Amino acid sequence: MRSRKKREKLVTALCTVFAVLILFLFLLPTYWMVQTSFRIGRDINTYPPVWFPRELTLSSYTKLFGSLHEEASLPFREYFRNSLIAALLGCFFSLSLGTLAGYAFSRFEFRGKRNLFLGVILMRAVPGLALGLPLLVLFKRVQLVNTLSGLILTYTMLNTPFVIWLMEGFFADIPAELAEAALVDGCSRWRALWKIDLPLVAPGISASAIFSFLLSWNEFAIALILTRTPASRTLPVGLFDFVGEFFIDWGGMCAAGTIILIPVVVLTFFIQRWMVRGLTFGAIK
Amino acid sequence: MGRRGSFAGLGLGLGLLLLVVLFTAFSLSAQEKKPFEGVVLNAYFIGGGAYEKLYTKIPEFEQQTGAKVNIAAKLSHFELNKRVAQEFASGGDIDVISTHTTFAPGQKDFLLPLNEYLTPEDLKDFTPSTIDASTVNGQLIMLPRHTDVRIMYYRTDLFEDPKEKEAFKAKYGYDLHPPTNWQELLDVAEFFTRPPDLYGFVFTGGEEPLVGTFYELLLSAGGNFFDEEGNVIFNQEPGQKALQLLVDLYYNKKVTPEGVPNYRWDEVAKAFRDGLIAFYFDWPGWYTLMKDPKESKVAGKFGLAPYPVGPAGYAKIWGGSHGFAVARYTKNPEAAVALIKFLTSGENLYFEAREGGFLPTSISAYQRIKEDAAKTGDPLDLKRLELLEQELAGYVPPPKIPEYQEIVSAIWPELQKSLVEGRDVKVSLDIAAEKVRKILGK
Amino acid sequence: MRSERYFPYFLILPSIIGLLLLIIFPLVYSFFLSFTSFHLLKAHSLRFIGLHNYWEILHDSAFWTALKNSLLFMVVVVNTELVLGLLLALLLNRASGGQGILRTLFMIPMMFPPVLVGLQFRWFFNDQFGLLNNILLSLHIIDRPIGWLVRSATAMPTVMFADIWQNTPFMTVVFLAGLLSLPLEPLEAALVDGATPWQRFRYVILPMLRPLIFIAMTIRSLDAGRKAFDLIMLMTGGGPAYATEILGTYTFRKAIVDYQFAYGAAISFLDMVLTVGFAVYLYRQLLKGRT
Repeated sequence: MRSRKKREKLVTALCTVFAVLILFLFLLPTYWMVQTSFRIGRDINTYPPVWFPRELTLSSYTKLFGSLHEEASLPFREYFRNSLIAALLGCFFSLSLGTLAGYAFSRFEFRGKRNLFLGVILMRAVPGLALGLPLLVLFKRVQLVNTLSGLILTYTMLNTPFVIWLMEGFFADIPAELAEAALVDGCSRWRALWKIDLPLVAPGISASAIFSFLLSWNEFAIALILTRTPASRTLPVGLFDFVGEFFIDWGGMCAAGTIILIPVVVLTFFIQRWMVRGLTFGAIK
Repeated sequence: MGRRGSFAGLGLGLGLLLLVVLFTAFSLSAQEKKPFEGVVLNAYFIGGGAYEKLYTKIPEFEQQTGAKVNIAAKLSHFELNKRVAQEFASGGDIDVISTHTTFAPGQKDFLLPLNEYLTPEDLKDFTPSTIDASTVNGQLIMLPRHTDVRIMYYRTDLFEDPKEKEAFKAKYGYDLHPPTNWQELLDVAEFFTRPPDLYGFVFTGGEEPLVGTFYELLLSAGGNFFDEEGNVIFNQEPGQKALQLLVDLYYNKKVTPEGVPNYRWDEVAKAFRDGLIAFYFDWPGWYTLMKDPKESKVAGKFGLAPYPVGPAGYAKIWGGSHGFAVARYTKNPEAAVALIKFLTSGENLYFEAREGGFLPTSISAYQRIKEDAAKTGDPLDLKRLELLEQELAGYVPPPKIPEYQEIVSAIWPELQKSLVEGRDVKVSLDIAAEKVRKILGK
Repeated sequence: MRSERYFPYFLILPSIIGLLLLIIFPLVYSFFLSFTSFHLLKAHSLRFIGLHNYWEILHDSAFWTALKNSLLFMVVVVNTELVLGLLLALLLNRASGGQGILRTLFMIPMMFPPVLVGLQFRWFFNDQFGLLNNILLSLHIIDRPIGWLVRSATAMPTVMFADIWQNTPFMTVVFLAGLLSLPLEPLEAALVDGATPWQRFRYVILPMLRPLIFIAMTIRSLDAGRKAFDLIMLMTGGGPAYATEILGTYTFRKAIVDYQFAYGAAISFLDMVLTVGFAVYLYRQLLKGRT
């Protein structure tokens, strides 16, 4: 008995060490990026490495908010706004469309369901390139190039298959009897969905929300093709502007990267909490 | 009484007349239409660092002509070319682009020939060789902006150190100096290789920069990509010698940092700036950065020298000119041409050269830069320009064929295989030549 | 009751319409282009040439190398992320406090824009000023910096490492959600029966997670090529000499860098066929488990 307890303790200790190591690995690049954003040009990416720079500066950040014609600066505020709107709305719409469809796939039987579901999922396999240029041509026809709306539409449809997949799974995991019972009691289908099923799949919704938002927030290739000016350009594309012909402005890029990272970290922190609450809700049932 | 009154009347009348004249003149000039009022030009320019200084002059153009310039993209040329190609292919709204003598021939289907919009008068301030490089099949497709040719940067603190000189002489039997031929290049590079703090040499080991480097070595060995009839000849002996030099440097003698296959212009310059390299070849645009102690560890410790000659007895240098072109399907050709003329005016090119250390293609701007350099008190400034001037006379742009980009893509992986795995240079070059034949034979 | 029958279609319709317009249609257009000689910079190049592009692809040695690399990459990366993700999920599950912060921290790599990840690792593995070489040199484990990204032998493992770094959190999150929603009774029963943690895992948890594992693998393998593209493009550009060239980067090189869009479209179709094949196989496994 005692040796077993000891072994368990050892295992726990090893696990903790392992976890800490992984955490360290995960966070090292982040830490380095944030640190680099505060360094002066000479101390960035040097050999031998400067572990603790003696001089810190905010110049990388102030350059971010300079004017367009000035050297090495971006219309950062516009990019940030565009990314935020495109990601939030893309997330919201894909959640709406995807949850409804996921619900339909999991609760109903209808002709062609299997194949339709498979087909929807497989759309995730479409390589960005096969999509980019034709989309550009299509959007040109309907005046959607370089608009936020065009971007939102695209992101919505890029995310919807994944949301459908996730939500179908989550709906399938909760027993249908609860909703059925409500129906028998005279509830309409919509009300049953809204009041009973949706709260139970809250963790699924928050997971879908995180991934949707993330994909749109970080999306690069398609935004690069479909946007042109600060009217619709997003942050990841803007990041790329820092990589000039001969010279990568690491300081500016890290500053931009740090700023890009913050909303997502904050969002995740709050949503994952909600995920737990939703789950304990589910467990109580 | 009468006289006074008539004088007053005359005065009043004159005053009124003056007012009327002034008013008319004023309103006339206010109504005088600016030539391109209301025109919007979409521009796709090269971005990054010193390139963008020229664009700060654009508001002046807008003020003068009433046109508005929308810079839709500021990217590195690698990215810019892809972007521009996509825009062209999808019929995008594009008026003016940054281009380069290396890329323009490939883009020529979508560029507006400028001959009918410009007079010989407009072109007389440009260095003739750059205009020539910007002309394909008799059509001028871009206006050159500044020229890039490389020169040798070397560490004066190493080359002039008496202890180093002694050790070198003892080992190799001749005086230490910046190399003047390929054998010396190998010797000096080997001598200064003391990893991990110092390497003799560094070069760009992949993609178009690799092919360009190979190209100038190929030329300096007496060869070329194609002969007069267009046959592929770069896999013959001059090509083998050229590739062998690179392989010797990287793979056999290991006198360069190991990351060279991944090095492009940025990494190479940074390595030298960090004090890791004894000598190398690079573009003139880095000069100001190199001298800045806040950015460079070798500020004040480097000198410039001409290229070493190749086995053929001379040194040919690969180069090209950056420039601007107008899209063929632009809706405002006159305004677009006016913009590129403005950007490449003698005055603006002087401004850019002064701010960024470039080599302007404008003859007048170049003269003024030389005068400035003579006055700075740093003899290196003037020497640099003289060296560059020498090289400008003999620089060679890559073949002006539209398939150039494809050819580059086909060749560099084969060259790299020799660099990275030591594959026999003849084998690599033959494979590359075969691929190029296929591309052209298509 | 008629409305009952059409209700599901009604729910799905908006999604289908959107997908048709924005995904299917461009795809079909691309497919059509793959049968032409469309070249981005050649003005009148939209000529029908039938299967010529596909024929050329079969004889293209670079294509086969890219195919092999794609397969290798996908298999190694997805499996590693699976195992690591599961492991981390189990560990996180055990952690007693600070769940919120821990989870957020673990998820950070996933939140990086791919451009940034690619550049970060290109810097991290750089032979001159890269952090890894600096650490190894300082600890005197090596005396000359190693060119991780330029040696044929190490290039592929490093890009795999970058991908695993970025995508393991995804698996972790999925499995964590799965673990948290497992019913408690079987576990409690096992505890009562005196099962060791390992036994509990092997015989109770793992089988219940099986469907989720397949889902996660399918999703990841559908994504793998697309995400890897950004990373590889920035870290090695497909080099050295095709050592890290996958189908996605090869498509890009042909279609955009070389301007041969039609040829690239053909490659991307073959790429899709491969990915879809993989996913369909995994999906079948999932269905087998469910029934």
